[in-house]
Amino acid sequence: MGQNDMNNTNKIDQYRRRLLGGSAAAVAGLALAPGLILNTVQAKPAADAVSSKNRWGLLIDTTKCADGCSDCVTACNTEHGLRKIDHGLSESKSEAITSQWIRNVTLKNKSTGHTVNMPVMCQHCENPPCVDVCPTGASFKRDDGIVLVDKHICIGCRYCMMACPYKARSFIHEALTDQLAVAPRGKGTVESCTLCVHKVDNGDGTTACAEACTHGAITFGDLNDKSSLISKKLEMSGGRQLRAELGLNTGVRYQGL
Amino acid sequence: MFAQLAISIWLWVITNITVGLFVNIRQLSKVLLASAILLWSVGSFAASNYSGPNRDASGNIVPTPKGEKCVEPTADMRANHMEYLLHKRDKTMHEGIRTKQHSLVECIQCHVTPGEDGKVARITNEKHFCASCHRSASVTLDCFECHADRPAEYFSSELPHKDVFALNPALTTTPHVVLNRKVQ
Repeated sequence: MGQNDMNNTNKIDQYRRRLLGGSAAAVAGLALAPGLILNTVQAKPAADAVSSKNRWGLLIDTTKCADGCSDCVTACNTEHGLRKIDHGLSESKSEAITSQWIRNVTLKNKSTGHTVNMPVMCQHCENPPCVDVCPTGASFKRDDGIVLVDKHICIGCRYCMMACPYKARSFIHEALTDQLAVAPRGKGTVESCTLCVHKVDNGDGTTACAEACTHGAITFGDLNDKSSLISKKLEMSGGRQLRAELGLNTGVRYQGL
Repeated sequence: MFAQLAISIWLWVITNITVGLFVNIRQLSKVLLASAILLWSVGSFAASNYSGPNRDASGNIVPTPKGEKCVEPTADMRANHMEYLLHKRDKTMHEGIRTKQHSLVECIQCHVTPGEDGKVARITNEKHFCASCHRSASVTLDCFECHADRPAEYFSSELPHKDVFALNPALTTTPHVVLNRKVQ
């Protein structure tokens, strides 16, 4: 019953998207409109469903992101139980094939030599291409803007990995053991950053990466709430979307790019 | 000539009868087997008839949870736990509803069992609450290929038996644990 409702919601979203045609500007304009409504964010009662009153997102200040630091990646791995599988491989090879939901990306301007470090994870798009291509409905967007994989429904086809412009998703190739209760994950399914959905639902008001960042480069918050820290920072200093031209209206924004 | 004809006819008749009989025997045996299975299952179901919460269909003592009672009546849980879990699963996954009722994490939190090896029973151990019944019912479950099969407090180390009791005093009062102690 609940699933039908959700499917209908998804269909309505898709219909709206098609109605607007290819006009990214129109989509972006529509997406900004709900942001104008002021609302206060409180911890959601456990029995209440998430709603589109909230739009959770991250703001990453790349000017504060330190070179060589990977605290956010480590914190994410610890939070979700992403760890090495013992294959008897060398340390570096083993490291290379370990799942991680956040990637450290370094951009270098060839003409000036200026480098920028930033964590890149699922951008929690408002119009997620991964959801568009998913043949089973496993890839979905919650009403509060968090894009997730329902691993119960995922058949491991990996279309979403192909569709994601941010290379944010990965596939679990091997049987796992000792997964954490907060992050069930298993062989044959696709996974990605969940925006610490268990913490969000618990009303923690933060994510593992934002908590762990000692440089204050990551801010978690409600993009729909004008009084939230993330919205104020965005209002003051602005923030860019990665590949904004795709019109996906990402929930993760970057400063200093 | 006449005798040969008679013999061949007789052979033909015998063969037909034998084949027919054979087919009938096979069919009959299937019917007999099916009814035997039906009778046995009905019998064992009636025999179980929930003779106390700690026994399964064969009369074996099954793991006892921490709490005084389950979130639904035992008979209801035995019959419908998968429906409850499925419904809750979708509610949690898609709508972010994380109430404790019918939550798999809460099931696991309560139905913790020490195994005979002196450690917390994992799903691969027949003493594990879910495994104990699913094994005897021959129903494969794949929940624990992704989900945690034991509460978080047992994660850091495989605790020895006495620590299992310390964490879960209710276990010391159950017949299941007494059995385990005898084994030790």
